Amino acid sequence: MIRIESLVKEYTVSARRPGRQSRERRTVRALDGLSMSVARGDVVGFIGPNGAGKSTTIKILSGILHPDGGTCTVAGRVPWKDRIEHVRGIGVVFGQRTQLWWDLPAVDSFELLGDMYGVPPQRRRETVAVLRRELDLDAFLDTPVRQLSLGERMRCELAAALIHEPPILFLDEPTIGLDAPSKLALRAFAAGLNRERGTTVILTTHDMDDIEALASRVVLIGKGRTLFDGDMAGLRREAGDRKRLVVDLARGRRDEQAELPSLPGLRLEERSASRLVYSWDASNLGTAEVMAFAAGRLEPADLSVESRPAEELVSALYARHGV
Amino acid sequence: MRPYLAAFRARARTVFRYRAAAAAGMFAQVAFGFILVMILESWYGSAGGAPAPMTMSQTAAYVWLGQAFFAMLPWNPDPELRDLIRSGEVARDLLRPLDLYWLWFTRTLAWRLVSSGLRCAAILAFAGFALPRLGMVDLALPAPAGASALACFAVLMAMAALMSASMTVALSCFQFRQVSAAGITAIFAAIVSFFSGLTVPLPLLDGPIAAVAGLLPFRALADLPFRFWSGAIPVNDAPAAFLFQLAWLAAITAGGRVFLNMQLRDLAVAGS
Repeated sequence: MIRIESLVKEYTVSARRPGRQSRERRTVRALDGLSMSVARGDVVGFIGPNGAGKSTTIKILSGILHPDGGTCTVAGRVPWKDRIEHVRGIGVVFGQRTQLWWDLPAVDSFELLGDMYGVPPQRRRETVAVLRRELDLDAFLDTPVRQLSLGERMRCELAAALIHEPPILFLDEPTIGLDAPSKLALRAFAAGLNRERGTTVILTTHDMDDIEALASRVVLIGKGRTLFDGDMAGLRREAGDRKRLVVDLARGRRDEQAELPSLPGLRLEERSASRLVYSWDASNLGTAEVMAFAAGRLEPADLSVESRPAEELVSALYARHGV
Repeated sequence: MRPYLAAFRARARTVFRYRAAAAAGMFAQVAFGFILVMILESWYGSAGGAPAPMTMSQTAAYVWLGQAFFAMLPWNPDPELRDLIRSGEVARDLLRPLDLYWLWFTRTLAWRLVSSGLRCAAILAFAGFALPRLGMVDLALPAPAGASALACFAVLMAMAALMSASMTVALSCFQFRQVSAAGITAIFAAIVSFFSGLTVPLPLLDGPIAAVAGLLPFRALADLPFRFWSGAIPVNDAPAAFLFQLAWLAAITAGGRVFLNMQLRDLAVAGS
């Protein structure tokens, strides 16, 4: 469906030294030979620090920007060369931009967009009816877009991107700034779209919960290159998947000697009056062994095993790759 | 056509939401028109009946039509396009399955037509009906010189609207290069309002500057159609005027398209 080969994009930025009038130009490489491919029906999440090239990739894939090198095809078309035909088959939501007419109610925007994409009015009304039910738009469909809350607007944006029923959907930081219920609703809707209509979804985000809830595949981009491409479990292995055991202790006498970790690779991270925290590398040591150790040697009131939070995981990966 | 009509409707609707701005602009235009016709009338009076290139009545028609259709002149870039380019929202337009040039052209045309449409009726009514009844017949807008003169005026004004849209899009494209188009707008606004005849009616100019004004496309926006209204140019000359407009329209449109596509090749949209 999507094939990207050694894509390069450079931006020129001007720099001015403090107190000097002369301006220098500097070239920044946003994409530096990025390659990857996406199959029909995939949900792929792009992650990477700010400035890694995620949005640039989305903009090239959606035909907005011309790359400086490399090739890419989406559904057999080169987006920037065949832009008009290409964009008929894609829907795009930019979390930080709007594609609705600011001064008009969202329902007007849907009508105008339907006309721009050449959707027959009857078909458009049916699509809008489904979207307003699934995204729960009824309460504010007639309000000018500038007066909507961010959560309401993002739901309208999503609907606007789907008026022409595109088989590919690009979501560029769709959940940025949203409250928890809106995030959950948006994820559930996107997952449903993929499940029921087989829509291919490409998502960029900084919210690892988006990835865990939606993406079957994660692509880590840094300095304009692909640093990791695989599933979430693979990403955990790549980052060094440490798990934590939190032991809440029963009141009473404690055997400090028995609390010391006796398994190879097990580390005691915290020790307080009522709580012990151990950590270990999940690829070397099984959770069952650690639990057996805890149950046998301690007197736990409660035990809980935690995976490392995804945020920490990607931060560790960014640090490792120096991005 | 339907997709472009949608773009036209969208822009027309947003302009229509700002009727108060149109009303405010109208008062400014009426005041300007008054000052201009009074200056010109005193000038005509002091000339002591010496032969003039246009009669006072033709000159008054010229001035009032200029004020009525002021909003149609391409003296500034479309503020909506300016915002699109500055904020990077231009990305959104590139996501539509439409030719960007014609999308912008139709949208700009809608803006020019609706904003001048909102203003012109009241200004024409004031200058054509109210002034004569207030006893200022010399300063008033006279009726068109005849049905065929009115028809020529209508056709040439329609062409002028198209030319204005194509010039506006070209002007807007400068904003891809400049952080602010204020400088180029100021220069362009002066050129347009002078060479279209809005500052001084072009027939009153003389010498090389008149020759230059005759060659430039700007007079086709105002001067030419206005003179057909009052009969200062005979109806027989309409085909030549129309061809003059058509040639410039084709040239500016073709040039604007090339210019826009050049900008898009180097487009950069920062941020997400």
